[in-house]
Amino acid sequence: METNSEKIQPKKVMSRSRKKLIFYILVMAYPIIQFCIFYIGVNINSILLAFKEYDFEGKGYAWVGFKQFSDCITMIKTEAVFRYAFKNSFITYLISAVVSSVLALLFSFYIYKKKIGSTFFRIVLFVPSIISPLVLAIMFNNMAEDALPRYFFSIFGAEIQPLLSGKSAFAVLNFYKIWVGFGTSILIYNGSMAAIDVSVTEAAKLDGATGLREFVYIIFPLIYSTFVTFFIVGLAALFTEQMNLYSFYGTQANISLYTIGYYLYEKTAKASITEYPLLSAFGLMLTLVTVPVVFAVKWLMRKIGPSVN
Amino acid sequence: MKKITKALNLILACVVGFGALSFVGCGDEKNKDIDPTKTQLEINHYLGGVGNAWLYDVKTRFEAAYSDYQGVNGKVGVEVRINDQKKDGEELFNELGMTSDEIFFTDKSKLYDMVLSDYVLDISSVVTEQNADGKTIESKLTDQQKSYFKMNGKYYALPHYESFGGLTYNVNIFNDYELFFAKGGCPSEFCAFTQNNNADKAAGEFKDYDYTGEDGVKSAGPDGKYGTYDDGLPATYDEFFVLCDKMKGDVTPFIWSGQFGKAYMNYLFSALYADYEGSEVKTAFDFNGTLTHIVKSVNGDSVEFEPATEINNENGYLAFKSAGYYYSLKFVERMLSDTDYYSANLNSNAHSHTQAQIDYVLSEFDQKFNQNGKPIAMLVEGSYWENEAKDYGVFDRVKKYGKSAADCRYAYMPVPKVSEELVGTKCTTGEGLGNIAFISSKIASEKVELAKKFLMFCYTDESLDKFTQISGVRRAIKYDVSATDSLSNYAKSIVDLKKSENTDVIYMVSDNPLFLQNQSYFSYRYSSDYDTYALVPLKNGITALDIFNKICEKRSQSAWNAQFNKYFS
Repeated sequence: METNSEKIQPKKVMSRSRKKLIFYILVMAYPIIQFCIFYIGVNINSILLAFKEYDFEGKGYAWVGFKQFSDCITMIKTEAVFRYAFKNSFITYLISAVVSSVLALLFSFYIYKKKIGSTFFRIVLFVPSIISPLVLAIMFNNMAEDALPRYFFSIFGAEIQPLLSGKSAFAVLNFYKIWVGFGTSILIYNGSMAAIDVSVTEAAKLDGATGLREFVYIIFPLIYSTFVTFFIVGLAALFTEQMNLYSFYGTQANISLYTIGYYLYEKTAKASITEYPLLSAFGLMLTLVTVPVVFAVKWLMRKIGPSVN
Repeated sequence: MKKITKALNLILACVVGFGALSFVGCGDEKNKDIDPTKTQLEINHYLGGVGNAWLYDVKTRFEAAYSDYQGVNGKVGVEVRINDQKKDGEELFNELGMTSDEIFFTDKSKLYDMVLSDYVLDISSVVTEQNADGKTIESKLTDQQKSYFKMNGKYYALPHYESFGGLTYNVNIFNDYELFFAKGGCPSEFCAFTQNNNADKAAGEFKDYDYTGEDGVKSAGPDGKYGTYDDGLPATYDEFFVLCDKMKGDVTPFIWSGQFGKAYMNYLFSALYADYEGSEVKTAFDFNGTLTHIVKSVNGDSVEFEPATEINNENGYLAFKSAGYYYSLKFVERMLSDTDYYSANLNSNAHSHTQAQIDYVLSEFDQKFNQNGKPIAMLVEGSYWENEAKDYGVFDRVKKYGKSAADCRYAYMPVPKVSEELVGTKCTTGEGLGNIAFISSKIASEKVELAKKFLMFCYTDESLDKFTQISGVRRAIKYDVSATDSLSNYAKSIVDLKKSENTDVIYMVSDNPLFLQNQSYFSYRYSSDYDTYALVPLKNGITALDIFNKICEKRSQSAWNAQFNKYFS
């Protein structure tokens, strides 16, 4: 005879690990699907497009092998815009890698050392990073183009060219780029410096190290990996950097200010469906150039960088 | 210090919050709740120069006319929902595959790409069936428009508003400073055409320049005939710059946008090019016909031409060697040759097109709007600028000076002729047909007929007339404007220009696959190694001839063959 307790079927309880798995799947599914479609899918399609051409009879893209690549090389050789675009891309990167990095490191160190006004600097330098880039560009544009020349005239009685329209445009654009990127660099460098064990810097201080020595021999080696990351990320973006040209000039920037990143963006925005394959091929060629350079520089920087020991 | 930090945090929070709120302000009917008892029609409208008042007028009349329309699921009546936005056709293209909007009125569209991508609905029935006014829309299209809009025997779009650029002049300033040429007061008054085509021609021979006000007896102007819309205006390039020299003591001749001026000046280049080339513009785009202005050499001011040449796909590059390019560059070179010719305001990249309109309108009343401290006589803009300025509230600001919008009188200035021999030839304006109306192929099948009815409704004679009455702009289609009393002086001048037998509108498009499949190549016809926009090198002191040579070099025979040989027969 069965007892009551035997009649009651044990309730099927999902194991804790299974619940965790379902939760994990639910949380991760959306970003992974999104990543697959909008990153992997888009990039694969873009890579394949570089080997195709629009076929008007067949109303679709047809394979053409490496034709787009040879067209692309001809285009680079014949179009004057690339002389400016490559030159500007390199110069902008170097300015940002050298000037911007050095300034960001020094300011971060100043803030890290909690010197006078360091909190104020931290907030003020971070302000450009939290204001809408377009709003900031409009404000800066009005200041550089309108307000400053007028103030200059009213104070000194001499006329100066608007800063973003004349010969100074390239320099001013680079200044702007450094200024708006400053907050993020400082925040990250400062975060890295804050993670350094206080006992290390205190020991250095007891040994009589000056501020400069402390920075060169202790702080910089300890945050070198962050520095390398910035350097490498900047290098990887060498051919996508737009120098904020679209924010200031829309699609009407002067050719002499073009960077490769701006060229690609502007052309893609205006291109017809027949032109996408050529742009894909160009993008792919740039990737093929950039990837080995990035890895080589990364290896070199790790090799020659300062040792923590 | 903590208090300061807190205060700064508060300020920053306000800045961010304010920024967010400013975006909330961007609303349109798309955000409103729908009326579930009616059938909705979703309109995507590019809110540009023509504004949206005309569309709200159509909406009101269409909803009233179709108040008893029987939709699916027992719905009665129609609700037209207008989604105003600022994306032109180029930007919109990438969204057309997933849009929920159904009818589009756009700028700068890539029609051929849209058809290839199956984004647009076949609207042949809309174009060819009799409309409520008893006419077909097709009967209102020119032959050139029919061949451009018809692909594989089907119509996919209709022309939206007509936009041709060029010069606008301030009639009040021309009157106040006596800037109209008087009869017999300029050399063109004695050229063969003006002398032969006017019974009351100026007597004698040209002695000295003479000017008059609006009510004086004026010269014949570029059309060489008295009593027409262009009387008193400079007839040739030389007369134009003589006038600029006269102006510059009291008046600044020009202004255009410093920020977007490169593109706006392309309007002027096109106007000058089209006017010189006349009907040959069509040949330069469809590569089928004869060109008679191909430049052989340029020596100083004299241009030697090649013999008349038959143009086809193989030698289409010769179209870029047309003298129209050279002369238009030369004209702008002269505009830039003297800094007193143009307002210093435009040297700034922060000087937007709306700011240029404000400066142009208000400098008449308050000279602080021009850094040169003078009123500004002419504006380089599109033919829709006045309506755009009105929507932006520019004419409300003249009240401060005790004036009303009606006191602001402008007119379209037909571009002058290269030389006296060309006075009396047709005034030709070029139009790109990039502003179009179409129905999305993604529209629900049960709404297709209603959407077609809406589009037909927009193109009845009544709607076309109302479009011009409300916006002051013409649609790029044949129709009569019923009355011009309520139109502004500027809108009237556009209507007069179009009415004139001496005016031709040539569409700078063609149905040749070489053009259709490579439209971006032909979009920037003034692009050279110096810059995409010819204004830039000209402003940097590079000569018109150098730029012209670079334009030709860029379109050399070898480059043309390499790019387009698959189109050769």
